[in-house]
Amino acid sequence: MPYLSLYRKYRPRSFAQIVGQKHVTQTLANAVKADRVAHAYLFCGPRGTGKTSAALVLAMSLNCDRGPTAEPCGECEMCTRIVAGSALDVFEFDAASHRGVDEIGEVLGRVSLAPAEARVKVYVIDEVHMLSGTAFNAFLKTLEEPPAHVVFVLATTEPHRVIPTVLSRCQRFDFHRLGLRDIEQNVRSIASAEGIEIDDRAVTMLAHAADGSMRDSLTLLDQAVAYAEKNVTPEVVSEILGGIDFDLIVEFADALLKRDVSGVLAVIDRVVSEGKDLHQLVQGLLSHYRNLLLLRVDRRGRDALALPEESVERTAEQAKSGSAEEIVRTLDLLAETDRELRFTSQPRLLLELCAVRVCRPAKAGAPAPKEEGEAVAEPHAAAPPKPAEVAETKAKAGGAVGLADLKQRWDEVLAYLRKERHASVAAFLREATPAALEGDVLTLAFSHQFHHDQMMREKGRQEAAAKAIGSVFGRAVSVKCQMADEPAPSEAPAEKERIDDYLSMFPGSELEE
Amino acid sequence: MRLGDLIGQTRAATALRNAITRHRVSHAYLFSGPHGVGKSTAALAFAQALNCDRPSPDDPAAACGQCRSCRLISQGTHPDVRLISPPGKRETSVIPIDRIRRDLVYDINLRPAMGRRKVYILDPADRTAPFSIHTILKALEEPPPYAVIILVTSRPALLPPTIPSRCQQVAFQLAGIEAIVHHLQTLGLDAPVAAAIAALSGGRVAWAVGAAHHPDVLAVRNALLDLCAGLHARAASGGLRLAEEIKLQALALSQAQNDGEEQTETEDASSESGSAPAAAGGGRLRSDLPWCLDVIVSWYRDRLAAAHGAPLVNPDYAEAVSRRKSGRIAADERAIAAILETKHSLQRNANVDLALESLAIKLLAEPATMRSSSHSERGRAR
Repeated sequence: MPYLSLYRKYRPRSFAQIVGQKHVTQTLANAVKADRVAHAYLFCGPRGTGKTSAALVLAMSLNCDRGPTAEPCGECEMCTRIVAGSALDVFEFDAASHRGVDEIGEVLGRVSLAPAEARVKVYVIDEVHMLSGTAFNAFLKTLEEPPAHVVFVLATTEPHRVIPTVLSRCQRFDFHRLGLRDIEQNVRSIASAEGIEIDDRAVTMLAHAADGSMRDSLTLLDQAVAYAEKNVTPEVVSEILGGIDFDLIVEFADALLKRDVSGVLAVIDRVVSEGKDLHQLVQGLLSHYRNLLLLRVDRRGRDALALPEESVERTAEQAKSGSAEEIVRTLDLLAETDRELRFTSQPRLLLELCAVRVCRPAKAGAPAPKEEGEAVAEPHAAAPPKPAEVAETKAKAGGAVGLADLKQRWDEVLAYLRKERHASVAAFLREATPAALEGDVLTLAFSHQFHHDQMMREKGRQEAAAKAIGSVFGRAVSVKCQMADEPAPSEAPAEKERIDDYLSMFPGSELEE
Repeated sequence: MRLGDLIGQTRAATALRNAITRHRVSHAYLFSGPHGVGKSTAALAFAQALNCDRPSPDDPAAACGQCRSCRLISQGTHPDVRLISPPGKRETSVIPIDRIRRDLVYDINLRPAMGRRKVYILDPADRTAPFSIHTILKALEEPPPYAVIILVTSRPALLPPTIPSRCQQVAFQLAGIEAIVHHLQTLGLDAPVAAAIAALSGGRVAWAVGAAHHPDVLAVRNALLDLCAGLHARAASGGLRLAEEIKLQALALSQAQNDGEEQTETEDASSESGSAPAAAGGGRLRSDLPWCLDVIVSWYRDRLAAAHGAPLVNPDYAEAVSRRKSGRIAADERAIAAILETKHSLQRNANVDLALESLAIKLLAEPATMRSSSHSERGRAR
């Protein structure tokens, strides 16, 4: 007998063995007991939560030699043949191989034939959402009123892609992602049945990585056993999960928090030359920063971390050195990099860019190192933070906002307005220039009568503008609107000067209108 | 090629060897990892090890490479080892659903003809016709005991999650730069040349080996970096000329490889999976240009790194890179973003000339933008 994967060897053979889906298994068991089994079921849920297993157990319950029973024996001929996939009346196939009308029609043509050896014919259709629209429709009649000897079980990971007319003809059961504890327990019991020595910490790591899927956890266990020299230790698991160890991540985060660009780049260089996977590194960083954030905002967050005690200590220590905003900002940038990494052939470059951006101070805080033009040129580097925060920091940052600042950062006011759903006000204000600032009154000069009138027409618009300016600069102002030609427009003299300049270059020339 | 001979893939090789020596060979594997690091090579080596007639007695995972089975597998004619790949060399071609049904879903039920195991290699598994990967779900979950299915992909994220969940994942990684330098030196390259090629390869062994066969690759790289070093002296209006020059380099690269291929009939086995230099056939410009862009991007990346005192990709250009102190970090970042964007649009079948010209104009315009007033003021002048 060749080696059989753990998830195949330990596939549940009774309702009781299906972990963590009591709401489904109990209902099905009761239906079998009370002889009220429906003719069509739809099992939905993520991969590895027991959909196909439940369907096969149902088939066994209905056809077991010891009569329809909620506890199939698993030993009689019918049961063993269903398990082996050789039963004549239990059809298990995936919809992807029978997508079209013709193919599903071929299957349906045989539905009306009486079962050859079993009591009930069971059709298990996996990934049923893969059927084409017309195939679904061809299926409807049979699905609504199948012969008495037929039960359909449709399984899918994407129920939203199943058409509503099919949904309404089935009893729907939603399988849930499995909890960490359930997976841990199952992994542990299977490991002991197999005689595998496995560390508790390693079990937790496997369960985490399985992400709610029992099959994934057993696949990983298989992998770990194949890789391990003797026992399955946390080191082995971390190796098969990508080999980015905790120390490295802490070091990386340390450098990021200290804004030590060359330090970060050196770490990346080391990771690359050791041939480790940068994508894994980013994912490790993401979960580490999540932990930092948890610890930062909530002291009791400790319990939610799936980390050994000493790592929690170090994480907690590190969490003290960064503000929550800082951590959130870094998380944002890392998440963006994580997305882009999937599609790039230059992972290293992307990560380095990300690191440089993280290390550049947020604009909201102290103004970035004087690199003129940079602040405005990189609006996305520090996405407009929430108004309240900005107002606060700005007020602290000095309070003295001059007309020049207003002009310089006028675009931010417009962006803020657009974000706050005052796009029309933003559109009018685009045609305006801050002309004068006296006390708390800001005078806006409009170059076109239309925009001026529109702003004047509704009080709400002026208020929105005032609020936007207030939020961006952290200073309350009231807004006054006037036409640009009333006071001497600021740009006209410059224009005139320039023309005079040109004229002086060509003596004797005249300018024609 | 044996599993142990893979360069810089200790982890993957160990996992696969252990599976064989401990009789824990799974029915389904997913080989994931970047392009050109040896996934396809490893899949064939694994198939050889599974079917070898005369494995060495002290290491059952080491295929002999001499027996009939091993030879047939490396020639691609073993009746029980099926390599299922997209027809044609084009990047856009996919494995048709009929092929998957015939050669895998149906074929898997037939017993092995001469070997112990039937091995199905789907390479690359992410390039199948729409929906057709789902047809293997059933086979992938419970194949007959003699079957092993290997899915090879550099983009596992594109597979539906139900697929990896059924497979043992074997992660391949970019090889360490030192490992590549070492390997290139055993092929007979001088240390500095080996270092430059290894750095360019970014950890892709197949690419490095391919480049080692074509000395012109290094010349093109030098020409491109020289081009970059001279950028600041150019007028902002010279975009079209710059585009033309980059294109010429890409064409020179294609030319060099074509000549090279005529001379060297037998390519190194491991370079067959390589991307840039080893790929054969027409449409060269489209496949070589991204590589040229990578070189250019490495220049900007180095400037970024130099500003922070970090190690460089092209250490031999260190002086030129740091000479341009006036370059601003934001400008370099924008240049990098523009280059990556261009690469991306080339993948999506953008017009090569237009994409390149637009990029060149952006690269040259960058310093000019910085010299003039800030963005906001220009914005308002509109």
